[in-house]
Amino acid sequence: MKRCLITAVTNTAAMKIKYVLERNQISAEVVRLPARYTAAGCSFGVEIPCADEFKAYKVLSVSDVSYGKFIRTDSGVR
Amino acid sequence: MVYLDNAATTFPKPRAVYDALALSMRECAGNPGRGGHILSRNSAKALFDSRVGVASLLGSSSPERVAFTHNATEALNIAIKGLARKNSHILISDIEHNSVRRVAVKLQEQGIEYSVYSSAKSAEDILNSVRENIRPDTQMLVACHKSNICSRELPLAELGRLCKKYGIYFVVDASQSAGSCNIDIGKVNADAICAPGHKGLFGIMGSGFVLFGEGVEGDKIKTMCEGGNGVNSMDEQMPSALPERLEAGTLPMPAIYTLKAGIEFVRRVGAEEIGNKESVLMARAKDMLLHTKGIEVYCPEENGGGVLLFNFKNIDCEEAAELLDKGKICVRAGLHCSPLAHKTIGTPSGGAIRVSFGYFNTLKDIDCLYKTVKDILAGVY
Repeated sequence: MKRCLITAVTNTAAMKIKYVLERNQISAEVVRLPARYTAAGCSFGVEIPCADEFKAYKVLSVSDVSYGKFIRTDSGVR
Repeated sequence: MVYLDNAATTFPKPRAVYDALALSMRECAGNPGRGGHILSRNSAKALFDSRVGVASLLGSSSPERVAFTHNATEALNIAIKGLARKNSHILISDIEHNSVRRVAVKLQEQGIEYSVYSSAKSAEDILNSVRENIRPDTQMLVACHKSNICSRELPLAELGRLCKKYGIYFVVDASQSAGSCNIDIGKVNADAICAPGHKGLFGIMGSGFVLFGEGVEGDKIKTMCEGGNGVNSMDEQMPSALPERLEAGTLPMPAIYTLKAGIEFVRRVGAEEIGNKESVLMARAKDMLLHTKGIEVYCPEENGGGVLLFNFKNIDCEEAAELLDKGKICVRAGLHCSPLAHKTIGTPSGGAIRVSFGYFNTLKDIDCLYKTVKDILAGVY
């Protein structure tokens, strides 16, 4: 299944993204980002089903949560 | 044994706190925000849930604005030194603990002066004292919400409004009030609220926190400690985002996890209910000691709170505390790290005996205290 990654500036930011998404019935997992997505090393993101990408974007864009890029992957990072 | 030193740290803790400690050692044993494995992820979730607990208890919807520390002193250092600007002026009250007073004194090395405002009498008197001491270069006001040696309480909402009017930072030391008073960071217009995890919030010793208000930008807070935190490791500087900006090194996860359990207990019982119970116990003890010949009670006119200060008229306070210990009563004597507050209320140079009540004390404990005091006066010990 295609997965979608949302990058975050910190682990706490990733946790808050997960928290907000789950409150909106979007399943989300905090993951360490692959090195190719982390210019400064050691970053976190949130993995969601790509089917929920639009809904997640809609939720986050009207929240006070800080989030980075949306990246589509073939099978997630795990 | 009767434990009456809850202002130093609460004892006992709620059952759920002991259970949480055991659980944290098994299931949250990984370092949060470091690895991607299950134990690290469990810890990261527990850590975030703890931030949510602290934030929501204090009326904030921004868990990322909660930075964990090892105690309230560290939290106050981060808030005050982190927000203070060179060559400015700060205001502290005359009941501040050394965790504020010594910070203010240290800041003088950076050209930051401080003045002391009065905590006496009414809210209006306190505000007038602030107005008299405020200067064009005043940048911050620090307020001890509740004293650690007496019932005195500063009017946070009024002070917050005044700070907002003057455009200065408002930093609150809630060390003695978090868990026994309802505090809402938005309603009191605070820029930072600092507290320990192990007092009224019932965690084990080893945690504290600072919650920053919405108006404080993370990158405007100077860091007190730099190091690794699992974020952007290639960067030479600490991240600008809260809370990682202020959390260098491994956090005391077992203490933080128990703090979460303690906060859940406080929310279940209600901070107001806890505060009311402590006040009743304090009033009963005060009533008994006020009518005991050979005992001097300080600030007898002040009500509320769970702290009572007294002395035996003919026994040094430290010796008296030892005698109380022989009678299996745990109290704390001396200056309680608050020489400024002791001077303000007029205790002798050596200080006094403090009894401080907690939610788990009972009226029977007060009877034991009273009996032991009478025994000491009668020369039994």
